[in-house]
Amino acid sequence: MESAAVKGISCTPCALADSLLDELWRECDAAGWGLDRSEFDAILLSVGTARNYGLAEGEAASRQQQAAYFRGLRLSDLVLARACAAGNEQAWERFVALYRQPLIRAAIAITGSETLGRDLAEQLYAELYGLTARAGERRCPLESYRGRGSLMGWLRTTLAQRHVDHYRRSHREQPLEEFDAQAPEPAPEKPAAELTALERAVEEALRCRDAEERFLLASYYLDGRTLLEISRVLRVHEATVSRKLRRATGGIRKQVLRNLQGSGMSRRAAEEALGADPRDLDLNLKKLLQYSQSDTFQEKAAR
Amino acid sequence: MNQNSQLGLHPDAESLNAFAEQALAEREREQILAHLAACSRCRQIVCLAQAAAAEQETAAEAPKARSAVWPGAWLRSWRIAWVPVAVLAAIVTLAVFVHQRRMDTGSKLARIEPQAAPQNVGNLAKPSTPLQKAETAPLPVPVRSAAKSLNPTAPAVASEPLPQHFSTSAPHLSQAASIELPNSGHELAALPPDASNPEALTHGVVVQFKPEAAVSARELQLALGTAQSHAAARAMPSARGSETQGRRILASTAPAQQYETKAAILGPIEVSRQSLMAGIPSIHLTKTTALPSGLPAVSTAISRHCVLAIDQAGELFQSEDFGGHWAHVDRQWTGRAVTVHLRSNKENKAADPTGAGVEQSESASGAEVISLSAATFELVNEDGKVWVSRDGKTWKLK
Repeated sequence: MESAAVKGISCTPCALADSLLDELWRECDAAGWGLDRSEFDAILLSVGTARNYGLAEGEAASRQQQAAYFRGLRLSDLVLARACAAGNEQAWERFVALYRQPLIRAAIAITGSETLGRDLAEQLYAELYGLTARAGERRCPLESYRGRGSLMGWLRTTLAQRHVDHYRRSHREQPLEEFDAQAPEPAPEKPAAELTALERAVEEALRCRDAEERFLLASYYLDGRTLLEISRVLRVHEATVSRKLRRATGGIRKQVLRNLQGSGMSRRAAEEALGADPRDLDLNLKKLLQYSQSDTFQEKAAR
Repeated sequence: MNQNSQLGLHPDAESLNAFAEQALAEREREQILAHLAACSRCRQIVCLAQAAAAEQETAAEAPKARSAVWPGAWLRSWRIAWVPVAVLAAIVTLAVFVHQRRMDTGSKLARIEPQAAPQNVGNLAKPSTPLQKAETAPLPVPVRSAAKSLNPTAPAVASEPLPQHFSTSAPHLSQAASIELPNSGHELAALPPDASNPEALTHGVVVQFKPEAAVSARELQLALGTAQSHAAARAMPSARGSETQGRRILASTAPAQQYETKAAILGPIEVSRQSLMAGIPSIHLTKTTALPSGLPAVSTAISRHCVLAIDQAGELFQSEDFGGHWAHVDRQWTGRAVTVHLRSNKENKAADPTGAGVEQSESASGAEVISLSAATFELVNEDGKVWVSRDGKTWKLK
């Protein structure tokens, strides 16, 4: 179980209001899963301090902010997950009854294969049951669930995570003969000055786009996701995704034009430069998009 | 990043799921979104998880939707087909209804019962159904109701000795005009507008019987003529043998019931369908006949003895053989005669409390009987003055 000390966040149990804890205790029926009040308080404390109640690092959460954070959690799912992680048989029966079949169906949907899906689900189920141990200690992934979002959603995302990681590993392990031998690329010719200016202008334009636009561009143009798939992730309508994409591409075009004009080109020359064949450009859009904002999590991970 | 995040660079499953389920605060959401924009792995994870969620939701909702929406969907898929089906159903229902009514009325048709059963004349004068009302719409001129003053609750018309001169086809009356049957006690003025329809007058006779309408066999023969009444007699078989006093043909109770007789043209005199629908026949003069003056008749009245007709010039003519021969009646009134009609004994009785000049009989059942012979003619000039006559020849100011 994580603690505030582990996370290095200063937060004491006495900061939680007893009345709020009583109310949450009654709401989630934690006693039904064999949790006593002190265990429940400890769970809430660990969950709250793990993310600092949804606030930025170092900020002190008021009681209202704590209450708002706890009310936004799926406490019933959280209590069930923690009870399962603690080895409560009754909780496991409940978990199996609720999530066993949905877990298998989700795994089949993710892998696109009945066999692979069942294997993936059984593997995760065994992991959840705590069959794996590190340093002689039984570890259950359910302990990492902190009640933000549904437990079923967490299970699906975990399945997808395992599947993607497995696919990426196995993809790297594919034999070389399956790949077509590629001819060595010719030595790049020295690009024209206009093309160099255009490349620089595009890089600058992409870097200054906000996170949502870059996500849309990457999902649509790099990953080849459909509008429907993107709309499911963002929980917006397909038309909204389409509109935002159109706005993003239009904004990038205008920004590129401005950048070209800023580099000394006339407007007409800048528009002509935009009509250049993209194959003549030495641009890696994937690198450009991935470069821009990965710093955030790297910084966070470094802490 | 937690311990489950890959390489310490990716958000954990809970954060990605919370992002997809909109359970993150704005600050953290922006962080996840920025990472997703740069990380194809996490984008793939989120997309796969959400696709699986959508698939599971669809699979879970399918049975509910199938059970809940299926009836509506079935109805919607047949929405266009419902229109002709509904029309067909309405037609079939109407046909069954009409057929059923015909069956019901057919069983009651031409039922013979003793005269003792009183019939309500008032029912004849007052249409009880919309159809009757429509078919007894008032005719403007020249017919006037002799029964207007009749008591609606008066007993039914009793059998009346058949006027001999009515038993044969009356040859030549002029122009289409209504002739009132004086003892009918019915609203003869209440002929429908289409009574003037030449086709209705000259081609065929449609006999329609009103509810509870009691028409004596003699009256029917009077209307149809002996020779031409076979068609109606076929419709009412008992009518042939119903000349016996004290027996009466009860008409159908169905207002819509019609009996059409083909080519039942009575020569110059025809029984209009509407008059028979009103429960009593009235006689119309055909267009082919003309008065001795050569002018068409504008008003006509008929009794058991004679027929009186006024032409357009206001001259009065009398015929004792129903249009076979006409005799001019000298003027005993002032001004131009406009209307001649027959006044029933009841009206006369009301006008003359002493009962003088009015014949009245009583049937075996006690029903009041209006006699043809008891009626008097009334002639109205253009000033509205009225002259009365019993025989149509001698007139005196009323």
